[in-house]
Amino acid sequence: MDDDKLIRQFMQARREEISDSGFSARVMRHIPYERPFWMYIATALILLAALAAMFIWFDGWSVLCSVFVRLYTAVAYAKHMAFEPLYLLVFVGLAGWLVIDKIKKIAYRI
Amino acid sequence: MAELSDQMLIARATVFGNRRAFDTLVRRYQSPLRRFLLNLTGGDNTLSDDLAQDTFIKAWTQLASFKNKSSFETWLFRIAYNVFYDYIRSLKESQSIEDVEREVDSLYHQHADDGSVKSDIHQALGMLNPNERACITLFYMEDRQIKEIADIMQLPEGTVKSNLSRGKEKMTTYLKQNGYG
Repeated sequence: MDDDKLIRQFMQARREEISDSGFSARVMRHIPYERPFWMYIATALILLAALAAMFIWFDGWSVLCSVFVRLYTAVAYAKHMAFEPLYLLVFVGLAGWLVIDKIKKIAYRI
Repeated sequence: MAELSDQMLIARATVFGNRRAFDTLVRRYQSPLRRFLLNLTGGDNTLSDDLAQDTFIKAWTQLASFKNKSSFETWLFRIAYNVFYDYIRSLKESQSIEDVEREVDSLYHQHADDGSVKSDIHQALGMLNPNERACITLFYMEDRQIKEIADIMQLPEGTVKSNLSRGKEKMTTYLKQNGYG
């Protein structure tokens, strides 16, 4: 028999398909979780666009103006009521931080 | 997703970070890759599976660098071959080619001498040096072309041909002496 044929026959007869048996699942468990960089940018842009749309839709300027007026009134009133405006600033700061944190969590989930 | 081409799956995995697409590629190529590594390690199932896992993890992290110059399978085999040699180098402090080759041979035969019944293919491949063994396995078992083998082993085509020729001679002698011819 031709040498080449002899080796091919010998090797091919021992060529076995290896069953997966959970190998692929094991590999996938070890694959690091990586998101392409453009996805972070896209997420940020979509979020910004959504916020801008909501701002326009709900007439954000007038809402903001009324909030500021109320805030100003509350602070002015607090002066007469011996209310410490610093507490209000701390409250606003905390609330703002909570809102930003929530937005970040939602963005991460997207 | 099973009908999707490698290119489509690679594009999904690279552009969108689609893990399911990569999972399909792993399932598609796990068998030939594990078989190749099994033959390099002399039939050591645990080691070859660990090396195959490292190969796929490396492939995932370097997927963006896959340029489609060769097939995805050839690219995977090249990574596997490098992962195997990186492992060998990690066992030895000295990095000289002779030391590495000696270590590959010792690893190959170590599994043979561990008391397990070694299959005849690993006994036959054990007659060859590491380069001849890799060439013979890729050519006769994995049906790779000489150009692909050169690409996988990063050797000139002429060197692959001479390794194949020497390996073929040794294998034929062994097979005929053992009643296969």
